[in-house]
Amino acid sequence: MAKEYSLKNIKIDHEYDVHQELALPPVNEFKRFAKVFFRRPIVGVGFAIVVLLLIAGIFADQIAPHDPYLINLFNTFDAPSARYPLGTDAIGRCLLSRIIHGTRLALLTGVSTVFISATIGITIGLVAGFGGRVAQEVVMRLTDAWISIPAIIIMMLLGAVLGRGIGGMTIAIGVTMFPAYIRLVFGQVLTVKQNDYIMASMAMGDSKVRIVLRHVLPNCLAPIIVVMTMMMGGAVMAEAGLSFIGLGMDPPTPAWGTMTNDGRQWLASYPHLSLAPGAAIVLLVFGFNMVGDGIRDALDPKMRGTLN
Amino acid sequence: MMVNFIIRRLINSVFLVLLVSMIVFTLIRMVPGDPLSALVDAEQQRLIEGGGGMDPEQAQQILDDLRAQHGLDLPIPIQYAQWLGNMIQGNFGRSIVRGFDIATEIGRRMPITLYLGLIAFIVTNIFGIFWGVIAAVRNGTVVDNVVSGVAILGMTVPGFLMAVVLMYILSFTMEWLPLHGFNLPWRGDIGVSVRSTVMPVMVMTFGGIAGMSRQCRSSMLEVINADYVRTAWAKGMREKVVIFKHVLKNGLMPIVSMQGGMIAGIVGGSVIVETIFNVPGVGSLVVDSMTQLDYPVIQAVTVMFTFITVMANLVVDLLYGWVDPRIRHS
Repeated sequence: MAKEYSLKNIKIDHEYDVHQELALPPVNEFKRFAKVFFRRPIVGVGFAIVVLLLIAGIFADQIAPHDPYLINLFNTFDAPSARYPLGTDAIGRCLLSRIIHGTRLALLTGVSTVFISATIGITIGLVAGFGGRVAQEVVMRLTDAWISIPAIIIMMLLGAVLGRGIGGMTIAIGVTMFPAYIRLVFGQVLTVKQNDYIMASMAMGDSKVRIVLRHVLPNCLAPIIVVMTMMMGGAVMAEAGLSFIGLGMDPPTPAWGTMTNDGRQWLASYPHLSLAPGAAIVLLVFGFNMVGDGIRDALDPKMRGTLN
Repeated sequence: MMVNFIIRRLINSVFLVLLVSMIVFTLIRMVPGDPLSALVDAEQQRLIEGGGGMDPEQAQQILDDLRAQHGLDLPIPIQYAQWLGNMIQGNFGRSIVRGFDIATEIGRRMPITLYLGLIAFIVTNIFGIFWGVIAAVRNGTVVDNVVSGVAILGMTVPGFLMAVVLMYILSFTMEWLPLHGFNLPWRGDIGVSVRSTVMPVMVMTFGGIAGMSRQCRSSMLEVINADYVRTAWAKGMREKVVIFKHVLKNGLMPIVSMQGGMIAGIVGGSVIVETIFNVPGVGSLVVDSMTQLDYPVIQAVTVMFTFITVMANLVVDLLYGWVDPRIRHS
């Protein structure tokens, strides 16, 4: 480190006798990001959990020891064994296989929900931010209305309208979560609009679309990414909650929430039937939250340069 | 000025509730299936089991009659106008599927939901602020780490899972608390009522306490490092005076603005908590009505919930202006 700051890097311009700025070595943005991101061990743990669950979800068919839908009524409530690592449930299905296949569902819900809500929210926020007063007023009123209905009621209704599969649930949850992005993007647009470079770009005759795509959107990207990762955990929890009260994914889909609820009937004698899928939910939500925390720190301009 | 602001906000709120009721009214009629055909099917099933049965035309006739009787054959805008007119006169209508008078039913169930919600609200505030302040004042110590760790847990464990774990530990293993049911303390045995309050309230508050203590901790830390607090210390003021008069008063400002979201969270959370613990409140009524597609009940409850959320937000905004003189409403 010390070497880079040595006199060798200070070039003195003899003609004007002016010291040029210290020529610092170029910063590798990715390395810097990774350094801040993994600064806290707990974030590393969360990241590892997400990666592991991602692998489990993608390769569920290869990893799961049994068919998650295969019913075997001669083998119910089997204790954990080498053949069934977590035992079997009330109708003899392999619990571990169901949890592994549930991982795929949970990850799909988390990721696609967030992308749906981000796309809707960002678009509306940008339009409102650059639209006239009427557009702003209408968007803000509608957003207020949407926020005032308890989210769970919208989810239940939309889930019922769209059908209780992965597609329906994803849209139902995604549509309840978009107002957060509207507020974020809208506020950001209003701030960015004040900058001189926007004025310059307008003076140069750039179209609104170009200004939005070239100047406004890149400026909002960091907070949007942070909110997106933070919301993945929330989306997973929302889907699990709906499935738990029987208004989410339809059985026999191996959704973690449904499994937690199914196992509840045998809580006294076979608590793991309910607690194991529950633990999977906690792990994934924890992982998402920690990754979100890490990304927030790593994208925070205040943290820039502190850990070069 | 203040009166003006309140009136404007109240008018806004009325429009908001109207808009919400319109959205819900339309959405619910888009759900595939129909509460009445389910009823007719069930009746048909009963008759077939009894050896009889209606011919399809007769069943269709009954269905059409029922639809006409409940006004479901009219275009949606007209249905909405009729429903709105009745609502304004205080007539919530009757349940399509179960036949009870909705106003009476909500009147019977609402006190339970409000009672649990109010307790949850108070408990969340007391513990959230308490732990947040402690963690901030003892920043970097074991206490701080424990509070922050538990807070992360609180934001990670979904309420229903917390309920299952509590049921397993407190009801099955320890046999301390009842598993299901709830009654208001003034409508029965007080001891039983208190014991059946514990678990629902714990589930309703855990996440809220976690979020609030985190928020409280960070805003307190910001204030603790502010210049005027350093000045107060430098003047040689006592710890109590500094913490209560300078730090707490300013550090709790963001907590006030959190209350609106928290109330919405408690109202929404009651749906899941009441379903799990079989609490006969409004939240479990929603879930039952949703599975049976009982249109008027869902509409009425949604409007009530929205109204509560909107009013709570209004009160919070007013409080915020009162607490923080910098944000007097213009």
